[in-house]
This record gives sequence, C-alpha cells and structure tokens, in this order.
Amino acid sequence: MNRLDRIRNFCIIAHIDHGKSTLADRLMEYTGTVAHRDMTDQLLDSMDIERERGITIKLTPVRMKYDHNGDEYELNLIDTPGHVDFNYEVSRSLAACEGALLVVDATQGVEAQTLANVYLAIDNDLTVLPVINKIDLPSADPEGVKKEVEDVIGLSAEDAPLISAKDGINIGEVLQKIIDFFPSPKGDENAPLKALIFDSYYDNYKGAVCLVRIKDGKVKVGDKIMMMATGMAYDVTEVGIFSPKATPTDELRVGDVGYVCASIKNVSETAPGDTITFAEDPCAEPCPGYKKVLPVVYCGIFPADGSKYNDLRDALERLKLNDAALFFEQENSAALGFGFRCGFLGLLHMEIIEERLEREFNLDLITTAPSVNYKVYKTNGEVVTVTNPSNLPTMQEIDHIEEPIVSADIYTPPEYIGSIMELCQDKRGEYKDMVYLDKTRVKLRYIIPLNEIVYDFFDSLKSRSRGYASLDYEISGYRESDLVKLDILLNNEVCDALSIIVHREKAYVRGRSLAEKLKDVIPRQMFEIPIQASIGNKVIARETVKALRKDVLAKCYGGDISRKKKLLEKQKEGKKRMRQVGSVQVPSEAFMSVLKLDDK
Amino acid sequence: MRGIYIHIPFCARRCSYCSFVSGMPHDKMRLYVDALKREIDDRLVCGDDISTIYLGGGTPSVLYRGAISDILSAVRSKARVRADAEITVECNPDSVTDDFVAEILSADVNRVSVGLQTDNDELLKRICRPHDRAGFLRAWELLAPIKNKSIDLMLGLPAQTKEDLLSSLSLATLSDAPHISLYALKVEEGTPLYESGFAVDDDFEADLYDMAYEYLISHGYERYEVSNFCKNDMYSRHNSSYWDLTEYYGFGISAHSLLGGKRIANDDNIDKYILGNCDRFVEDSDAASEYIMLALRTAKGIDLDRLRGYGVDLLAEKNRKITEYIRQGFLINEKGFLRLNDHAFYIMNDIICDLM
Repeated sequence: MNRLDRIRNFCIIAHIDHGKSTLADRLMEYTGTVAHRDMTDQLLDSMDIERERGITIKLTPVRMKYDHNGDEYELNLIDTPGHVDFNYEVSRSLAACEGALLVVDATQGVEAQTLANVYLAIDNDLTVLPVINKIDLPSADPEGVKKEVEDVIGLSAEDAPLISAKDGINIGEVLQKIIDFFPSPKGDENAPLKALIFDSYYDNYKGAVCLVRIKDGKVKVGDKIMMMATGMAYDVTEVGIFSPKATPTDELRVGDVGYVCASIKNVSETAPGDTITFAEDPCAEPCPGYKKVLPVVYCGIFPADGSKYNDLRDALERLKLNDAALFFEQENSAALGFGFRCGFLGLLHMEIIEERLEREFNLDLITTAPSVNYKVYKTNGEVVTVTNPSNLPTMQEIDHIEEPIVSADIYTPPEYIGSIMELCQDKRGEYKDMVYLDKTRVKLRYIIPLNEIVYDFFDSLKSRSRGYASLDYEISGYRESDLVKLDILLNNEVCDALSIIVHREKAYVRGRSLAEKLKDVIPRQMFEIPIQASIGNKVIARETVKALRKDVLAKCYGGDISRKKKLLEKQKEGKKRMRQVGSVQVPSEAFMSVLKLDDK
Repeated sequence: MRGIYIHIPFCARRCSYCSFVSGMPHDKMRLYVDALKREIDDRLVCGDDISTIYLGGGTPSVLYRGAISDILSAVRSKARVRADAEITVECNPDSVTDDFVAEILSADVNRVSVGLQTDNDELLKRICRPHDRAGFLRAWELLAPIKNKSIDLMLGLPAQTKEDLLSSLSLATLSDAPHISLYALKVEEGTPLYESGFAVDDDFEADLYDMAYEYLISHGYERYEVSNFCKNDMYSRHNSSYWDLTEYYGFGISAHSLLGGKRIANDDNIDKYILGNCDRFVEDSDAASEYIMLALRTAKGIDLDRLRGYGVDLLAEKNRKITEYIRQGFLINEKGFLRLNDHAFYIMNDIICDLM
C-alpha cells in the first residue's frame, strides 16, 4: 500500500441539529485524537456563537489516526458550515474531500438543507455515505429513514451505519466504512505544488493561516509560494496539521489536509477557492471553481452612542481579518451620524456579524433595514450600483432599475402549500414548479426578488408553516422592476436612515405601516410631529404624534430635591440617547422597530 | 437666615395615594415628640437666624395638645426666630378643633395649610380621606383668626371630573383662601392606589390643570410656582425658600436639610429615631443644577446673575437650546431672568433636562 492509500479526506453533511458536531466529537474521541477529559461539546465549533446556535461558521479540519487491519490510516475530517449563506465555502471544503458522511436524524428524516448540500457533494464527485443518527431515541425510525434516503436522494442506504453519536453507539463501524467506502486521494507528489485553499483565518502571530488540501506536490518552510488568483508571492513560514490543535510539521504532501502560513497580512489575500503554487515553478492550471465572493445583502450599522464610532471601526476591522466576505465602508447619515455600510453573504451572515459586534466587542448598535444591490440605469446612459437607498438618484435621472432575483427552493409539508404560495405571491414571487419529494414533503420553486427575501420572508415562512418549512436560495440574476424610494419625513424633514427601496405596488402598504409603527415608538414631544411616508414629493401616508401635554413634577419641596434631581438626570440621559432628526428626538428603538413589521 | 422643616409622621388615616413617611402608630407620638425636641436641641445652631418654620407630615394637627407648642419652644430656646417669621402648620379638616386652634395661636403659628383635596364627598371617601365637605367648612370657620391660609387641592383623582374640580376651586375661592396649592395626582409605586392598577391620563390631567389655571387667574390669583397660586402676594415664604436654595434644617424622620452646601437626609426608622440614633445620609448639593431645576418652577424664573454666582453662564453654555426654546415660545429671557412662558409650565421637565 502506498502512502496515499492510507489517507481519507472527508466531511460531514447534516441538517442543523441532526448531530454533525456531536458525531465529529465522537470520532475524535474514538480515535484518541482528543482525550475524553479535554472534550467540550462540539469541539470544532470554537466560537461561542457557533456552540449556542448549533451552527458552524468557520471551517475546522482535524487529522485523526486510526488503525485498521494493522495499518495506520490518516483520516482528515473537514467540518463544513451548514447554512446557505456560506454555500460557496461549503463547496470549497467539499472540493478538498473525496467522501462525505451524510448524517440523517432517525426521527426527522431528510431535510431541505441536507438535500442542497448532498447535491453539492455529488456535484463535486464525492462519495456519499449515509449515516442514520439518533437511533437511541424512542421515536427513531431507522428503516423508514433509510428508505427515505433512497427514495428522495437516490442514494443506496444499504450500508448506512445506524448510530447514536450522543451515546457513542457504532462509531467504530463509521470509521471502518470511511476507510472501506471512501476513495483515497489522487495526485502526483513530484508535480509542482497545487494546493486548494478551502478556508483561512487570522492569527495574531502568524498572520493569515490558509487551510489547504494538497492536490499535487508538496510544500515546506522556506518555499516561495504564489496565490494564483492574485499573483502575490510569499515565503512559507510554517506548515502543519490540526490534531485538533494546529501542530507544525516538516512538510505537507500530496493528499494532506493542513495549514500554510506565510506572513500574509490579510485574509482577503487568501480567498477560499484560490490555489497556492510555487512562485518559480507554478502548476499549469489552478484548481477549478474559484470565484470572488461578493456581498448580496447590505445594511447600515451605527453605534447607538455616536462617540463609539472608532470602537465600531476597530471591531469591524478585527472581524474582517477573519472574514474576507465581510465588506464595509464609512457611511454618514444625517440621522445616525457616522457609521458603516456593510455588505454580507446573506441574512444569517449579517445577523452573526451584528451579534458578534454586540457580544464580543460590547457595542450597542443601530442597524438600518437590509438592502440589496440595485443596478440603476440612468437617463444619461450611466449605470450605477446602489446599495444604500439614500444614494438612489432622483426619479428624473433614472431610466429604469434592475434588482437581484433569487431562485428559491422551499421545502414544506404539503398542508402549508397554500399559505406559502400566497406568501410567495405576496412577495412578488414567480412560480416555477412544485415537486412532491414524498408524501410528507414538497419542494416549491419560485423566482423571488432578493429585496423581498431580506424583508421578513424567513419569519413569515416560519410562522405560516409552524416552523416546518425551510428555504434555500441562490442569486439567479437581475430583473427590471418598478422600484421606488420610500422616504419617511419627521416634522417635514426626511430621515435618511429610514428610507427604503421598495416595489411601487408595495409602497403604500409599507409606507402606512412604517408611519403607524413610528407613531407608537416616537415619544410625544413639545410640539406636534407629523410623520409622513412619501415617494418623491408625493405623501402616501401620514400619522401624527400629538404634542406632549404633561411632563412636570407636581411637587418639589425640601424633601424631594435630591430624588427629583436624579429623576430629571435619568430623563436627561434618556434624551441623550435619542437621535436628532431635524427638530425631532428619535429613540434608537425606532430605527430598529421598523425592521420588523407585522405582515398584514 | 435659615428655615426649619419639622416632620410629623402621624395621620388619622393613610390616604390611598400617599407615599410619604406617615401613618406611624399613635402610641409612639409622645416618644417621637421628645426625640424631635432632642434633635432640635442637638442640631440647631445656637442663635441661628430663623425666618420660616413649617410643620408638615403626615398630619401635624393629629398631635396631642401641647406638642406643637413644645416643639416650637424647643426651637425658640435655641435659635433666634424672627419676629416676622412665617410659621406654618399643616392640618386636616377633621382634626381642626377649638383646642387645636387655641394652641397654635398661643404658639404664634401664623399660617395654616388645610388639606381639602376635593369637595366631593364620594371622591374623598374613595381616596380614604377622613373628612368631608361639611367638616372642611367647620374647620375653616374655626381657623378664621388666622388670615394667612392655604387650601390643598388635587387634580386627576380617580373618577374626578372637570365639574368636580370646578366645584372644589369655587369652594376654595369663595372661602377667600389667599393661597391655593394645586397638585396633580402622582401614582407612586407601593401605594394602595398603585396596587389598584389606576393609571393617570396625562392628557386629561393637563386639561384639568389648564382649566384650573384659567379659573384661578380670572379670580385674581397669580401662579407663582407651577402648583402654587396666591392672592395679594401671600405666597408661601417657606416653600419659596426651597426654590431659591435658602438653607434649612429638617427635623424628624425622613426630613431633609440643606446646610453648609450639603444635603442631609434623615433615615425613616422611627424606633431608631426615638432612641436617638437616627442615620443621616449626606451628599454635596450641586447648587447650579438644583437652582435651574427649582427656579424654573417659579414665575420669576432663573436669576441668571445668581446662577453665574454658582459658576454657570447659562445663556453662553446652552445658547443653541435656549435660542430654540425662545423661538418656539417656550422660554422668555427678560431683565436678567430666564423663565417659562405661561403655557410651558406643565411640560417643563423636558426643558429642564436641556438646561441642566
């Protein structure tokens, strides 16, 4: 047996909660990669936010050693993010493997997300082995689920190990099947270096750390390497493997999964999908499938306390070190002051960044309504890209606008089809087709403007299907659309942070509900405040916050002074936290509350 | 020149909205009065110049006979009470008797404040007041020898209508009270009224206040502070002294003092007080912001020169805000005083926040 025959590179595909991370934990424990006492649950999900949400955001590969029939095998597990926002990263990590374990919950069966990733794996020529998990649960139906795997996905489930990752049942069988079932890596150790970067992260001491799969050749410290997408060259300072902690080795050889450091200052220079080769003696072709990841969802992020602008900038820069997909540039809002226009891969990515800014950097944020990338064709022939409603040219300057559309797959039990179709129609969706995957599951396909997806689509989908439906989407192009900018005027002045771009037919309903919502969250002030929603100069909805009538301390004598002064100081603090829009004081909550409108 | 406030934490019955330290068991009355006299003797600076004395509560009129004279004697034996000093006693109509009037007259009390609240017997019962309209009329007659009298009225009581308030205002003006205090009901946490779930309707309260204001102005009263109205310049000198930061002693449980630039608060534990070990909490007075917050309550407004003496040049420091408020008609800057415009009194907190 040659060296490559004793290597297996694989990943685990699973729906959220179906037990991917728990299985990974068990495999590491079983192979002695991690001593039982060092085990924390879901070891590979190192960020708090990953553990709490049960999701994987950053990839973590780990090398395990396993003896099988007297031979020592090297098993490289490459963890993958599960969410559609990170689809591209998933596809790159799949490209680093030959096999994929498909974990299916014996009580739940096959889920939408699983399907999308399974097809991605099959597209990447991976061998997929189903693993039926949670057989310890009373409601487990392993045989039914096996049949489902065969019917729905078209995979043979005959050899599927029946396991309980939680209780450690049949873990050895999984390891054996990995060796028997998955192909070993191919490649030429004597060819010039060709290494696929499937992820990278930033380390304070080492700089950007590239996670790589060596497709051809080998690499060691001192080699002069080059990134094929950028042409930039570096000197290798360290190579190593994860077991599961980063451990330096002499070299990485064909078939290996490990890391390469080369004093690279920024993860944006180590984009997933890029190929590392030798600067002097490059390989002929890069690994296929590289693309530059572009943000699709944007929003404004502002510090709730204007003086924290620098802290927010530092925090974004820190996150950016580790997240090449995060985009931001300075934005100046009349209402919210200095902040950032940020771009994300999707809504989950956006949520995660917001949450990390608040939790890891202790920042209070005001975020504006999510927006997408509009292509604006101007009457003078220019085409501009607009991600911020405030930057939309005036109506007179616009010939037409195109908006991004997505191809959306919605998986749902059949009883919610009617309600979901109604939702999709309401969201300007264009029906494509409907497929019964089995008796209990239907796939609906719609073309829907992304603009509608970013605005409460998930919440509505979940509430209409009592949480059962799931969504998977990918950008499928641009489409001309009758879009307008909806402005909100407070006391006759436009509040830029509340402007949104919306389809003309939706503008009235949105305008009305925005105005109503704001009426409830803007406190009464010394004068009456008209709240207007307008398109151009045309007011389409109006509400009024009545003038404040009573805000006084009825009694204030000798005994009350300290206490009453404290009351007033508290009121003053509250006032300080308000944003000034013209003459109107607007509480931070007002900007946030308009993000979640009830769908009526 | 200093004032004295003396707290009497006893009542015939506790009102449903009351959050003051009151309603202590009456069997502690004598011990409490003794302790009060000791505190006065301990803390009052010998020969201090006293211009006003105010006995409040609670209900000082429920004290046993002789208590008020004893307390005032204790003050006089230590300090120099001015001949023209204003000496006020709060009372409830139900505890105003011949004896009470005789006692306060002999003790040189020259001002009384009568807690009428409303003249609607139903409303009085509902807020657990022990008196009725007839009782007020009887008490008012007994108090005739004292010219300088005030009536307390409330607005915004549960179920109180505009007509109810008008009736009370007309009773007060017909009684020829030279001074009327008009307090908006505040539902404080922990009071029975709060527990009952009653919530004030701010707009309606503002309507009531505006109506009362118009009524009193048209009946010859002036509003010298947001909740206080008087005729013929018979304003409360004691209360006014709080608003211009005149120093004062506070004696009794939960009483506060302003002495030597410090605000001192007596603890409210009556048993410890009786034993002579009352805890006191001291903090520095922040003269400038206290003066802004208090003086703006008055018709006169903030004496800008005086405020400069406290280290704040308000017009310079808050120029933009003040200019805006003046432009909007909420503030008036005249003859060195910055004051609220008539219609701005009831929404002054927001303005104070911007000036403080």
